[in-house]
Amino acid sequence: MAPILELRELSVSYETQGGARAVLSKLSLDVSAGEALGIVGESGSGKTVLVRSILGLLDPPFRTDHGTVVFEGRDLRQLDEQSFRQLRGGSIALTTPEPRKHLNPLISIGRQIVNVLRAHQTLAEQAARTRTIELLRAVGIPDPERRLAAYPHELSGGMCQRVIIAMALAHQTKLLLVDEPTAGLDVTISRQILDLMHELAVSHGTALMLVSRDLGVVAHYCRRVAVMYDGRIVEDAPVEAFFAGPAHPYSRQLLRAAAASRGKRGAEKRVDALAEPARTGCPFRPRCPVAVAACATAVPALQQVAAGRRARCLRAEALLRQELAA
Amino acid sequence: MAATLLQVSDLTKIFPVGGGHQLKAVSEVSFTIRRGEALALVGESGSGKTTTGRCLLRLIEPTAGHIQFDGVDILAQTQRQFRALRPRMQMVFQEPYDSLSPRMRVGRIIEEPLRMLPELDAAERQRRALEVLGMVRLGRAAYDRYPHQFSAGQQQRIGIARALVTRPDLVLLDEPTSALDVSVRAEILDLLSDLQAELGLAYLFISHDLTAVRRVCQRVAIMYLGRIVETGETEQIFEAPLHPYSRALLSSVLYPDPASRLSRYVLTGEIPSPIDLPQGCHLASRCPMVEPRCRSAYPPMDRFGEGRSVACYRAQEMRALGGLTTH
Amino acid sequence: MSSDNPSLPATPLPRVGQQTAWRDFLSFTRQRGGFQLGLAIVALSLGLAVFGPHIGPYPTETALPGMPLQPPSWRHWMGTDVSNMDIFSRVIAAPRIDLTIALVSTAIAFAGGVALGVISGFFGGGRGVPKLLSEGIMRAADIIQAFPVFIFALALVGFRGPGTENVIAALAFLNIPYFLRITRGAVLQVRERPFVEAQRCAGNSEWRIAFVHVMPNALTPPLANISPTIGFSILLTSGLSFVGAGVPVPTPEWGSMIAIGAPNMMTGQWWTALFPGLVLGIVILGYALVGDGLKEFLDPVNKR
Repeated sequence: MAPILELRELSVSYETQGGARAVLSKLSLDVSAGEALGIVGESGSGKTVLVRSILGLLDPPFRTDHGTVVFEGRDLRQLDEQSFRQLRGGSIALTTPEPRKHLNPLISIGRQIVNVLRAHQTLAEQAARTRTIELLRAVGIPDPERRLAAYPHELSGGMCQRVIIAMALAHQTKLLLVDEPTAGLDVTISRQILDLMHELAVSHGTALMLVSRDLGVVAHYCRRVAVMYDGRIVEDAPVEAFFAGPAHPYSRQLLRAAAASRGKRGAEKRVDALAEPARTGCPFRPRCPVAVAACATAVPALQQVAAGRRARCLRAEALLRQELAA
Repeated sequence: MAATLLQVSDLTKIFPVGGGHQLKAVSEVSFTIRRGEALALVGESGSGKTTTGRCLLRLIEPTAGHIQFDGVDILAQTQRQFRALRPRMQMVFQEPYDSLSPRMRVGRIIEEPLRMLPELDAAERQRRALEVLGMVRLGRAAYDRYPHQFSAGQQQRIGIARALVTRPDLVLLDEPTSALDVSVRAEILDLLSDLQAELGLAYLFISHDLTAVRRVCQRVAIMYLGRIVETGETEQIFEAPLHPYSRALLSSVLYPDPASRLSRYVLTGEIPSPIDLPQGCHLASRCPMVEPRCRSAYPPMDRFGEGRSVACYRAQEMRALGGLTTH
Repeated sequence: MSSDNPSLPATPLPRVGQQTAWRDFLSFTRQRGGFQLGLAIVALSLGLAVFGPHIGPYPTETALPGMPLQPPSWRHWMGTDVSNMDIFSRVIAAPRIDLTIALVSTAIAFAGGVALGVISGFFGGGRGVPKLLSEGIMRAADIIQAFPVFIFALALVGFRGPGTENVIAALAFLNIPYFLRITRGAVLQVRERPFVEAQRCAGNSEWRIAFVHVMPNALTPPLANISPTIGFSILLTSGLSFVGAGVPVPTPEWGSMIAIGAPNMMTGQWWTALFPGLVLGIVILGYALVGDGLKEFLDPVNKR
């Protein structure tokens, strides 16, 4: 399927007193229409910056230096603020962690959704109200007629997240960016929210880009997974193949760390999970149990390691063979 | 079977919330922890798990109930008397940095609990501090530095070292990994498991992170709105929960494996407010198994085999649902 | 496990925290002209407090022979007053008494205010005796602050008679509620942080937690307010002396110098009151500038 979002060599840096620091380094990624892509990474990997740079929401000291963000054939970086605003909350929508902070505490939720509806299309007040009630019902808010008048503080975190999703769905959203959908929500509630997003995405043909540190979320709600480390994609693979045996040593560490049992470490050498990314050669080298001398020379390229799988590691093919043998 | 270390019976904590209303954060909670055993107290917001833990260390005073620690009724003691027991019951906190005094060096922070053991002189205190720093795999270089000079994972190791320096029998772990990234979280969990085995520690592990609990604890108690609804061996409960709430909770866990398919058990609605709860089972408003008697009286804790208890009138029928894992 | 070698690390590690704090302070200062000016004025005033009475060209408490009320000249840079005392010598000697009063009274107010603030903040909202203590402290502070400061100071000094010790006592008493409130506000925040609970688990008594663990983390706001309080105390001292309730003449003191000079201002001898007043204003400005700078420097929000 043709990609609806194409990122090409996107580079973002962060201005510090000691000079600029790269946050995203020449990141390239495609999202196909209707696809569910999971972006996995730990704090500092650049995954939230990635989401915000797609929407042109980066504020100084962050700066997009280079690259293109092509959505449905248009380069978003060339758009003026007016057209960008039409796009945000229209064809592309974003849900964030801490949903309550993203709702205006002084305006009822019904009014907030009506505002979103009328910002993008001419709609009579009454029609907008009716549509809002439909949307609230669609996201599973009980008694929507009465809830229109509710203020954000009267709703639970899960309900606020539903309101945010309702806003995202107010238009024919083609791409829904979901930042940390489970953060701050209880287990059963976050599961309800994920189910809801999944159903709505499938029924509307919306592509999902789900950014999470929780590999369990990605395993169950995504078809493809991209792993980020130090501002780069280090592995990009179909979900089944990835969880059966990741190709990048970092992905393997993440997967082992997330498991519900301790598992076997085997004969692998101990590494310091806290080591800072290396500034030369492969950034993951200081934490890598299988690094070799060649890893110190240059950042490895993101190359094909199997059908539909890419990994940024010199040892990836060897690791996959080893995995198959085991 | 090892000896009972901690026995909690009918622990209740009521907070007045104004206007004559009450918040019953913990009601009639009973459980035991044996020496060297890790018990998890799990539940969602409002379940009362944190309040329960804080009552055990008398950081808040419970409204009613008994807590026996190694045969001593600690609620009968004054705070001053209880201070003599504190070295044996220590705690690791949720916020790695905020739980360390920011203006003290790590060595001093770790030695602070040793003030409770006046028989130790300065040299011995320092020896002990360096020993626990080694146990948590931080070098002795950490001794003279300040907390802000460490990463979150290392700060949590400092917190663990402080909890271990008095050589306690029981350590209360209050969401010790919820502020940490995935790989750091795994390291801390593994460290806690290793220390438990090495030192024969008993843990009360309070968490909403169910995969973490499964990784570290031998036994689990599941709480909902102030009450324990089910307790038992970790694997037994995770495989085939008998209480409708445990089943809903544990079938919501997303394991990092697309092949694992759990048979979902879905409750309707959200957790109700814990203020002025009605009589009867707290789950009645959301439970698919609800029947009239559930609304009139809270179901008693019934035993289901060795060490397993469930507070549900229909637990026997829940058993017929079988295990969570489907293939 | 490191029990194989129980001895201390041979060389203590460098105190990294303090070194960077000093470096931060220097670079902070370099970027702020007003703060530099304030620091210079404060340093100069402290220097004059020590050496001022000895470096002036004329005696400070005895009349010179000749005509009084000489205008500024090469011999008398700021002129002479009605008793023919050299105003310049007296102006630079005045910090000895003015600053002593301000520093001592502020130190007492700081110590008392912080201690009471820790008690009232840490034990407020609790139960039993500590709670009563906390409430009592706050009500007392309310009462003291309900009166206009100057009138209250006047009444206190009037009650015991003028004199350096009495001025110090009055100022200290008046400034205690000020430090108390600032400290209490900080303590109310600090006591909610988890490390306080951790210290409870470490078996500390409540009093020890309050003063050993909470207080050091609540000192920033009261510390930042020392400098403006000193400035304010200098002003108040001069005010009291101006109305004759402060430092008795002929001790060189800015307020009493202004008072002595004021009648001469009317008759055209402008230098008599102008120079002490000008110096007084500059010194107070200096302490205020240092206070503002320190407040900004110590505010954690501005750090990184």
